[in-house]
Amino acid sequence: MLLRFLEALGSYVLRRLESLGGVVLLYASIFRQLRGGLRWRSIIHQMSHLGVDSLNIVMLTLLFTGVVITLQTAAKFIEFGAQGTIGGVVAIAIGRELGPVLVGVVCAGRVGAAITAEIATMKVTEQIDALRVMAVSPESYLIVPRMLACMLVVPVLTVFGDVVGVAGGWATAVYYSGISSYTFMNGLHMFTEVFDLTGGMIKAIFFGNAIAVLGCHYGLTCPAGAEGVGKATTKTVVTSIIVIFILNAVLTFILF
Amino acid sequence: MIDIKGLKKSFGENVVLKGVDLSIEEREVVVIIGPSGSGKSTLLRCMNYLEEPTAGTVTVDGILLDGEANINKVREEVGMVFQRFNLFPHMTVLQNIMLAPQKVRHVSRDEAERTAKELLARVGLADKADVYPEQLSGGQQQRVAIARALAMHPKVMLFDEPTSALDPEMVGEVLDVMRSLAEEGMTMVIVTHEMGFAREVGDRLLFVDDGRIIEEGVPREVFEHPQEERTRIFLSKVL
Repeated sequence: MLLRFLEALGSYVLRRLESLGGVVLLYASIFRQLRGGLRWRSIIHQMSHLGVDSLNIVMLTLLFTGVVITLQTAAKFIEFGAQGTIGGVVAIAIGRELGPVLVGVVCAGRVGAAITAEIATMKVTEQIDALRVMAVSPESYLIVPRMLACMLVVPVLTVFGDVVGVAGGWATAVYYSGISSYTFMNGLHMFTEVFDLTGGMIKAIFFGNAIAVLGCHYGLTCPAGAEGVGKATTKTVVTSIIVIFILNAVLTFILF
Repeated sequence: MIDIKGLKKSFGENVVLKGVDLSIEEREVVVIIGPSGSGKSTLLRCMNYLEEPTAGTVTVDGILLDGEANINKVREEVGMVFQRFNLFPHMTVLQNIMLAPQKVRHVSRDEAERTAKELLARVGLADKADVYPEQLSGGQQQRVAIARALAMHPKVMLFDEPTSALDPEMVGEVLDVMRSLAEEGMTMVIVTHEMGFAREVGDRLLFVDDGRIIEEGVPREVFEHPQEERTRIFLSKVL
């Protein structure tokens, strides 16, 4: 019984280490390709493809997040006469944490899944092999543009989400909780710094990197068949979300 | 041109190639036949390192394939055509053919386009430059795949069952293109089940079974007077 448990545990650990090793090797390959120059046209195409299509879902997610934070906090702050801090609290919560993390999670589901599905489909239909036999590096042609696009587009989406989230908070504070617009904006000015925004953007760069590289890794290692594509996509979303939460904790320790 | 020594390949517990020695000369057309699962395609894929050998060596045009450093150098000289064409569906026929010369050889767009159009004319598809692969028949797609491989001006062409996924009436048009390549002196390694084509075009025929080359020789002689019992049994079923 114990032996079987230890075997299963060992097997699980080995599989995880093998997957981690695959990601490390992929990073090494990506860095080798980065030295060969960047294909900006492809990067911009990917930014448009992956970023613009995510605007709606980011807007909805952060808008309602801003609304809910204000709803949850405004009554208590007003009770203690601290309504002047609501703007700052909402902006800091969204700028430092909720903006980058929620945009990261949304992008893991929307962008990461799309990347994996595309690359896994190319893998199972042997288009990746076709690239390799023509001496076209899949890392250079497929992965580098997606990684850089994600590293550029996720921070931009985060700023967009921050603005929408704070706007949602402001609208709720002013039109529902009865706080004046001046009080909300004054609190926002008093308690926030530029780094509350840029710190969140730095986190978003790391999140974008992780989403793209994990998406490409699971796409390239996808087992054969349609079922394999589905499993690879699920793995990307789940792993990306876990990595985002871990990275968020580490980066919060380092940055703030 | 291609020199293989002691080639072994395993996928986990499954040993697919069990020690293959093979030498292919320049301008030679080598045809590989054998039952499904015998290791023909794996042997072909090892020739351009699409499959990394478990043991043994593969040398192409004097370059030993032993790692990432020189694989792409060799792949620039070795074209490959797959069973299922593997064209990029989001690109037009012309873009499919122009991709590798532009990305790998850094050929200008105009030159790549001119070469691509010449190759399309050569495979009889000059009027299909701007259509997408899904708008073509299987035979036409395979001819585009051949043109795409030729765009890199390879010294060797590898064909992995190029007619297996085609309707019978489309097989001929692909074999015609391959026949013309052989007549032009292209070094070719062809995995196929087209026995008539193998007999007509091949300079040498290899019969592979259970991960080994069981028999080799001039195609006509192997077909008419097989020396090995296993070859006799196989040929009696397919001829």
